[in-house]
Order: sequence, then C-alpha cells, then structure tokens
Amino acid sequence: MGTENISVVKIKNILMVTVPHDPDDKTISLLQDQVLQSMERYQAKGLVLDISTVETLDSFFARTIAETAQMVALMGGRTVIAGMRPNVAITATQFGLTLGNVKTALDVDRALDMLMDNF
Amino acid sequence: MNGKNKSKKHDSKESIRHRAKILGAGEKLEAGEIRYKTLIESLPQKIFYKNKDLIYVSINENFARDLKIRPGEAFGKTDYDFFPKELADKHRAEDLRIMKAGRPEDIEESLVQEGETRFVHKAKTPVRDNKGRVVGILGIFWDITKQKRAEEELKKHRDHLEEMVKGRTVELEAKSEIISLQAKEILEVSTLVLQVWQGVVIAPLIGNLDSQRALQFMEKLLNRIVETDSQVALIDITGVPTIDTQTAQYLIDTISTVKLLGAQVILTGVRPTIAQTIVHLGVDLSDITTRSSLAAGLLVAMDSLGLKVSSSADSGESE
Repeated sequence: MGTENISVVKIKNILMVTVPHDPDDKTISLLQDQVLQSMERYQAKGLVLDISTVETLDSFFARTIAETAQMVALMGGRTVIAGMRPNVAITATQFGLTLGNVKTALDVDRALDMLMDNF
Repeated sequence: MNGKNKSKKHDSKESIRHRAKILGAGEKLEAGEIRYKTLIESLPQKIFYKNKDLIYVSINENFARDLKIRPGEAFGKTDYDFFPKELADKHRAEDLRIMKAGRPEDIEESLVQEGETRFVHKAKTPVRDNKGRVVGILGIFWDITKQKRAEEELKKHRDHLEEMVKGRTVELEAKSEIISLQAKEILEVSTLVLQVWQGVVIAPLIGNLDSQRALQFMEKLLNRIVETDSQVALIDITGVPTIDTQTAQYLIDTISTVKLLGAQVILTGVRPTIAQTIVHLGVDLSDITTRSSLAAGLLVAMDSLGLKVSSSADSGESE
C-alpha cells in the first residue's frame, strides 16, 4: 500500500502535496523528489505538506520530511506541515521524533494563511 | 665403400678399420678413434682441421655433405679446390692471421649459397703440438641464418614500434597543449562578475571549484563589489554540476568574506539535486539567503534595495 502517484498542486505561488495513507519508504523518497522538482519548476515560495491521512509515523518518514523542509528552504521556500493526527503527535513526542524547525498548522487552511501572510 | 645400403656410421667404422690396418696401428687405436669419430660425426656443426700449410687433413660428415664429397676425399686438398678463388683467399688469410695471433676467434659472415644469402658463425682455433708450436687450425662453423633473420625481424619490429611511439608522443604533446590552453580559457570565462543594476552584482559560477579557482573567484568578486560600490552580490551556482563538502566550504568562506565588506549575499541556482546533496552532507547554510533561481534571487536583491519592478502599463503610459 502507499505506492500511488504523488501529485504536487500549485496554488498561486504555493505548493501543496497530500501525503498518501500509510506510505512506504519508496513513496516518501518519491515525494521528496517531486516536491523539489516542482519547487524548481514553479519557483514557489511555500510548501504545504498535508499529512492528515497519515496514521503512523516512523523515523524514516520523520527524517525525510525534516530534510525535505531543509531542501525546500535552500531553494527559497518555506514549509508548513498541516493536519497532524493526535495519535501521530503523541507517538512522535514519545519516540523523540522531531520534525526539526518546521512549522506546523492544524489544517491546510491555516497553513495557507501562514504562507500567504508572509508575502 | 661397402655399398649405399649400410648406415654411414658403419661405413666410417669400416674405413677407420681399413686405415688403421694400413697404418698398422692395431686394435687399441681403432677403438679410441671410433669413439672420437662418432662424437665428431654426431655434432650438428661442420668441422674441419687444416695443417699449418692450410692443407685439409680431415673434415666431418656434415661439412663433407656440403662440399658434396666423402669425408676422406678432403685429405690433401686446399680451399682452392672447394671454393672460388676470392673466397679461398679470404679463408686462408683468416687462417693465417689466427694462427699467427695464436688465439681462438669467433667470426660471423654472410655468404650466398644457391642464390640465397645465408649467415654463418665460425670459430677457429690454432692447434699446438706438445711443444707449443702451432701445427694447424681447427674450425667449427654452423648456419645461423634463422637466428639472424629472427634478430632482423625483431629489430625491424622494434624500430617500427619506436616510430609509432614517437608519432604518438608528438600527438599527445599537441593534445596536451590544446588541453592546457582550454583550461586557461575556462578559468578566464568562469570568473565573471557582472553588474546587473546599480548596487547589485551577479557572479555566475560554472564548473567545479578547486582551491585555485575558489581563491581566484573570491578575489574577483570582492574587487568588483568594491569597484561598483555594490550592496548585494548574487552568487549563482546553476552551472556547478556537483557539490562536495570542500566546495560548500569554499562557498561559505567566500560568502563570509563578502559579508565583511558590508554586502549582502544571495546564493541562487540551488537545484533539487544540489539541495539534496547539501542537506545530506549536513552543511549548514541556514544563515544565508538562498533561492532556486537567479530571477528569484534578483527579486530579493531589488527588495532589499527598496526597488520595485512594475510594468509601464501601470503608470498609465502607453508606447
């Protein structure tokens, strides 16, 4: 499960990508590649990473997401993670999995507001 | 002597016994001489013995076969009987010289036999009696044409190879010349710093950075910033194919140095693969402004200078 195609959507100058439910490592790496390529193509200023369908968070996922945010920052963009489930948040804290300095928002709406505000 | 069906060895033994009987030498001499003769005959070389007057005393089977005679028939003959005059003279002069010098000599010579050139190795030794006087000359010679040919082939081959190596060396030197000229050109082109607007310079980096280029780049950039009195410098790395920790360090150092001049630095042209490499290497560029394209970087530069780009349609003018 989780090897579907990743689609990155552009809204004005912000990118949005919905992480599929229960993604495998390959999907997560593919997500990173797609995001960075879209950053280059659209010259976006922000990225909303929607993880509202993700139920489990492992260390590879956490690390890749944190790294992706860093890479997006290098390319001149800001990342906001939206829609983290409560049980995922609890697991992450318990295992000490941090997402680095990445900003988070309750849902996609708020994430878009945060990113649009800054411009 | 006793018919051609019998083996040659048998033949010589008969003749030896015949001669021994004539000389009245007896059985003892016969046995010794048979053994000695067998030895001489089984050697692949050609052997002769001439006395000090250069008259042939004996020759072996191989030599006899060459001369198309029986071994015994050489007795009492001279070189003039077997060879043309010039050749005979030459052989005899050689013999005399060696007998006079009193020392063995090795000679290599060529001769034409049945229209073909052949090479021969000769070893001639003066023979002394028990009082030490030279009483004759012993010669051993054999055909070395095959070896000589092989030697010549080898030399020809080697010379040919030498020629080819020389040719290649010249080619390589020419190519090497071109390469170093091109390298110089690349060095020139790759350290370009352009003023794109008042107060803004752009330095596009092309190719990989080594320590020499990094230093040259840094110097050029700093000088241009001072020359143009610029507040913002854009360093574009779209043309840098790979980035390693060393290159990243060169960039960081350059940026820190520019900051010391009071100018702002924006790193542009960060492509997906470069972004991934930088993060994986663990290089921290968090206090540097970075953008994925030069255009985006330029907007930042304009912004920080308080400049704004608008189309002329906005201001109500038409052209």
